[in-house]
Formats: sequence, structure tokens, C-alpha cells
Amino acid sequence: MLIAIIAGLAFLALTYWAFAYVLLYHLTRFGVGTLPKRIAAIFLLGSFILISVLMIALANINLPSILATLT
Amino acid sequence: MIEKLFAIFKESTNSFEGQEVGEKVILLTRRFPLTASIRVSLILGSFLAPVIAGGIFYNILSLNNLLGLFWFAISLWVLVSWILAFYVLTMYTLDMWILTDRRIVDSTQQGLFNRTISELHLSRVQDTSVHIQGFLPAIFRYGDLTIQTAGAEEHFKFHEISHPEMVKDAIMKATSAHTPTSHP
Repeated sequence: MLIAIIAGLAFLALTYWAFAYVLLYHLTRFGVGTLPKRIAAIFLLGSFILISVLMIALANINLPSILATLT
Repeated sequence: MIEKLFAIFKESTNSFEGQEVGEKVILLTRRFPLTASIRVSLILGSFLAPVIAGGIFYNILSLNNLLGLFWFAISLWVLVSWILAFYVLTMYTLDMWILTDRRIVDSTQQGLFNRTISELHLSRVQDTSVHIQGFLPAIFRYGDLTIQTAGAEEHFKFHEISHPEMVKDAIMKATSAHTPTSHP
């Protein structure tokens, strides 16, 4: 069960960063002017903050008690 | 050093892929931001949905010791909304028109892997017309600009751009400057 949860989270993280990479690539490679660079910087900064919040939220989950509640 | 680092966010020569040597960018324009803003606001507004749900089901969540899981779900929801909002912004940003002293470049982004670039040389510009229709376009001064061309493709259209009259004037000015004066 624990392995499945970790694998699921790893898959989510990989999907997010792959999509984020594609967005950042498009903004920096094809963007013209200052607007795409600003958007890319805000997106990257926000992503780091939100991922950190997600990690903290993940660390605060009491998994054994949740599993006990669900089963 | 830091000023140099942040300069890329303040000033740009508006150089673009495929720009010719010595070609100068006169104008860079995008769709009026209202349409993208509405979409982004709706996505960011969805941040409120889990907060409201949490408020309603707080007692149940805390009784069953599920608050930790709930905060994790909220964080995940916000993260997904965040990337969706920036997807919309990326599409908006990459959809643009560039007027140079030689040509007009239309770059259209329809999805991450679907990009169309068309260009029109200033010598082929015949006529331009501005079309502003509707309440919001009339108030915020945005609309369509159509260029009649001498080529096989009859129209070249700028969709929902800010101040289309100003863009029209800039195109006509560039066209006049570009057209070689005929000597009798």
C-alpha cells in the first residue's frame, strides 16, 4: 500500500514537472518581449512555493490513522 | 550584477526566431488581455472551492482525523489550478503579431505542440481596416484589424488587439516607409 502511494506521488511529481518544463520551454524559447519572461519567473517561483507547501502537507498526513479509518 | 539579472524582465529588443539581420521590430502586439484574464480568474477562483468544502465538512474531517489528508488535497488542487492558469497565460503570450520594418509576422499558438507562423511582406499590404464591435470592445478599445493583401491569401487578420487604430497607423506608416518611391 505504502509503495503504491509513493509511486503515485512520484508519478504526480514527474507529470507536474514535465508539464512545467514544457511551459517554461515554450515561454523562454518562443516568447517575444519581457512578458513571457515575467510569466515564466512567476510560474517557476510559485511552483517551488506550492510544491513546498504540498510536501509539508504530505509530511503532516497521519497515514496509519487514515488507513485505519478507511479499512 | 542583480540589476543586469533583472533587466531581462524590464527591457527587451523584442527579437524573435527567424528575424533577419538588420530587421527592426516596430511593434509587438497581442490579444486584448481581457479574454485571458477571465479564464485565469475562473481557474484561480476555483481555489475557493476546497476552502468552502473544508468549511462545510470541517467537523466530519476533524472527527475522522482526516484534516491532514484534506490539507494535502487542497495543496494538490491549488497546484493543478496554478499550472492550468499558466497554461492559459502561455497560450495568450505566444499568440502575437509582430510588425517589423520589412514584414508582419503572425504567430499563433493553438495548444503546446501546435504553432503556426505566417508572414506578410509590407510590399504586399494593400489596405487595412479596423472592426470594433460590441459593448466591451467599444469601451476598452479593442477589436480586429484586417489587412487586404496582394497575395493568394486575401486577408491577414489581427484578432482582438488593443487599440487597433494605432496598430493600423503603424502598419500604414511602415508600409509607406518601406515602399520605394517611384521616379518618373
